[in-house]
Amino acid sequence: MNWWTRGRGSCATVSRENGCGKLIPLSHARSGSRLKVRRIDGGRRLCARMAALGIYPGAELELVCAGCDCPCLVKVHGSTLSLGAGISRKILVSGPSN
Amino acid sequence: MSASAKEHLFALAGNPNCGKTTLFNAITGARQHVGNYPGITVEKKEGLCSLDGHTIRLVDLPGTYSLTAYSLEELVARDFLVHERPEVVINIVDASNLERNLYLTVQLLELGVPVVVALNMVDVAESRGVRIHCDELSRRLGVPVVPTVARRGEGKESLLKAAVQTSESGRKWEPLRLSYGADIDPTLQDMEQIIEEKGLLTDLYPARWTALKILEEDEQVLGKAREADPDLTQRLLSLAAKVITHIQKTLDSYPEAIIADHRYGYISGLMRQGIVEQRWRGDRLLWSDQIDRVLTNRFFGPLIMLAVLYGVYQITFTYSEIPVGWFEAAFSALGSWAESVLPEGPVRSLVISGIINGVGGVVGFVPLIFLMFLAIAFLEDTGYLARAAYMLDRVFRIFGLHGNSFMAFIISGGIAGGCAVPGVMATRTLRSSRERLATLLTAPFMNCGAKVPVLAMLIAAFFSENRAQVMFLLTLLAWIFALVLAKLLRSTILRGPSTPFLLELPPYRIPTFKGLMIHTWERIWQYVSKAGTTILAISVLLWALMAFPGLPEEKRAVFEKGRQEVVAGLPAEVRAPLLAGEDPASSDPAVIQAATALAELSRQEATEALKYSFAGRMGRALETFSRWCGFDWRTNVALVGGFAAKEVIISTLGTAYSLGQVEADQSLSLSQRLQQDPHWKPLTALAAMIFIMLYSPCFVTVTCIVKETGSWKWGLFSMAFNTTVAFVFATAVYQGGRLLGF
Repeated sequence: MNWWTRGRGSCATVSRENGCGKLIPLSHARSGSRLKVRRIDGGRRLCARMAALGIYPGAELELVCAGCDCPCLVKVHGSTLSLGAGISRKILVSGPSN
Repeated sequence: MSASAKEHLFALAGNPNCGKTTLFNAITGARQHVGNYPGITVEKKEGLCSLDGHTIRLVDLPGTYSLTAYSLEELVARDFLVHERPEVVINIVDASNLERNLYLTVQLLELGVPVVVALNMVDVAESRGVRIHCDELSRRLGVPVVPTVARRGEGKESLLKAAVQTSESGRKWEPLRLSYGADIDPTLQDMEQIIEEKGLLTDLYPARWTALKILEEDEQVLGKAREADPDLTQRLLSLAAKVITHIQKTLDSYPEAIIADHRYGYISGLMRQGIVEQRWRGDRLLWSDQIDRVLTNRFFGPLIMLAVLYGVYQITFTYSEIPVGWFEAAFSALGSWAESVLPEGPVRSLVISGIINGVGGVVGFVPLIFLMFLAIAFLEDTGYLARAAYMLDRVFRIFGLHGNSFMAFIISGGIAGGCAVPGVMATRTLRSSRERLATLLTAPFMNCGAKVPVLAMLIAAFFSENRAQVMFLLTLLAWIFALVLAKLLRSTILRGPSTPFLLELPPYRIPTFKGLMIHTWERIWQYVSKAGTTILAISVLLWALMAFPGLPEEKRAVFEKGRQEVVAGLPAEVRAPLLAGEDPASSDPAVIQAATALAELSRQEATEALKYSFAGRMGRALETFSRWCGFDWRTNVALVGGFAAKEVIISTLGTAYSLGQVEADQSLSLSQRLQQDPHWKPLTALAAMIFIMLYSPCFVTVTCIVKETGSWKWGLFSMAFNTTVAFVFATAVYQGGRLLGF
């Protein structure tokens, strides 16, 4: 779990075992990309709710349709979720996992 | 008591969209009962079924993703499990989304309830090339796992058998113990030990569960614990606080994240090797996603949505016209029958005007509401409704509303002609109470099917050259008023943050006929039974207001004398039938003339009686205010009557303008009458239309608002608020227009 140590900024670069990944909010990610959830900001409550929906640090998701003001669509596990901008800003992801 | 006579209590739990309701319908069929959990709007569904002589009471818990205290649904589900102690919880798990669905399963196991897993939609998983080995999953989870296909009712027998077996085996509550890692486990263990020793809430929850919930600062559990032992709770909380700070300092995280991480870790451990067999790769883009590419497309999506809404509207109003006609005919036949059976007098008037017309006016809408609900149930069950909410969220957010608000607006008459009653009920899909209130308070501004004939009548009288444009303008105005006033409410008394939009878009599915019928029937029944009783009471009250007190003896004598004078010159044999109001059988012009004169007298008497009645007096008293917007007492009476149902405005105006009974479809004659009345000008009509559009919702809507919000406060508020808004704008239009010289 050491890859989400420190770094509160939304675009902090953190080191992890296999290389470097840039943390960006889900709301800024590009459509069609596969992403890995790194951290959920915005409180315990949101964190618990997101976990129940399958979005938790370490989960992989696919951004079907990016935000730009309207809710974005993500596929996580087998389901499609639509997340408002208020939420997708608080989900920090890193680029394609490989 | 023999085992076979015993009633088993089972509960159905699962994620939203996992096929829970479909399975519930498949098992219980029509033998179900829908109610509300006390004091809240979460629906409680119960059904009965039997298996090999066992009677099973099955409760469909609200769909939840977890068992926290963050939403009403989760609280309801959790409380039911803890307080009602069902013998078995049937946990429905979507085979095509196993990991996330098992997250709830793990929490159920941690709570300790005896669980039977229904692995649903195995056919969908198979079609994607995924096979799940139930026996192995069952062995690893330690609970029975039964494959099902809820849509076709497959596997429901073996599922119930497994559940009955589990309950007969007398399994106790055995909580599953998960490890949450080195940071949490030691403290959790200490807390658990203390709770166990002191017996804190151990009659309700397993000790480890209570400890976990205190660590999560679960409001409900904390409240109960404080009540039981405040000092101990404080001690536990300070223990928890240490861990929370530690986790925040060293890991920059929350306990929730770590707990979730370990739960998912446990799940992936379960799934490792030999549970899920990917036999071949299904298409990466499933057909559901392909449909979504078109239906939620930035450009085509909104266009298609408009077409779909227009289609719903067309279907509902076109196909309901004929059965609505049948209902009306049936009620008018019933009225004529009552007229022929009952002797003249207040009883007959009560039965016909008060009961049959009042209740008939509402029951007559049943075919329309049936089709409307059927269309909505179809859109809901296919999964399209969630997409529409998703697309519209951006627009509604500007006005402090939510994507889910749109359906309530559309149903209430967003495309002129809906009904606010189902519209108000449709706000149930909104989670945040502030957004829900703002929606259900403003949805009645829309031009419902009952306002439309009234508006059409006034348009025909005063704006006959531009009928379509004026009607379109009024629809537009309704939207503007509803959205702007929603914004006003949300920035004043309903101020609060808007709930972030978070919605699971279920895969597109073809709805089952049975499911559609059950959903539609539930809502129809609610409408008929709940609204029906109130309608009866209020229509009797309104009838009484318009019928009492009757004209004093001396005034009646004046009319009676007038009648006698009319028939004085006629032969004796035609007098009695004429006075009884029968059609003259004679072609003698004198007789026909006398009949017309008698009818005119009766109308005048009706107007006089209305003026004298409580409603009439009310109308005259209201003139103090209403002259500001240009209404006289007759309009006031009609508007008061319109509170019963907006269509009543036409018939009351008809009575007040001494036309006798005016049916909605004969409104043209009333139009002409108003046109000729010196009091009515286009400006008055415009002010009246604005007032009618905006003022207090009809009482059926108000009762619905009361029922949906759970308090009379909001019902009364909507009456006062809407009437004030209507008064202000009608006055502004009338006075402004007069200043401009109209």
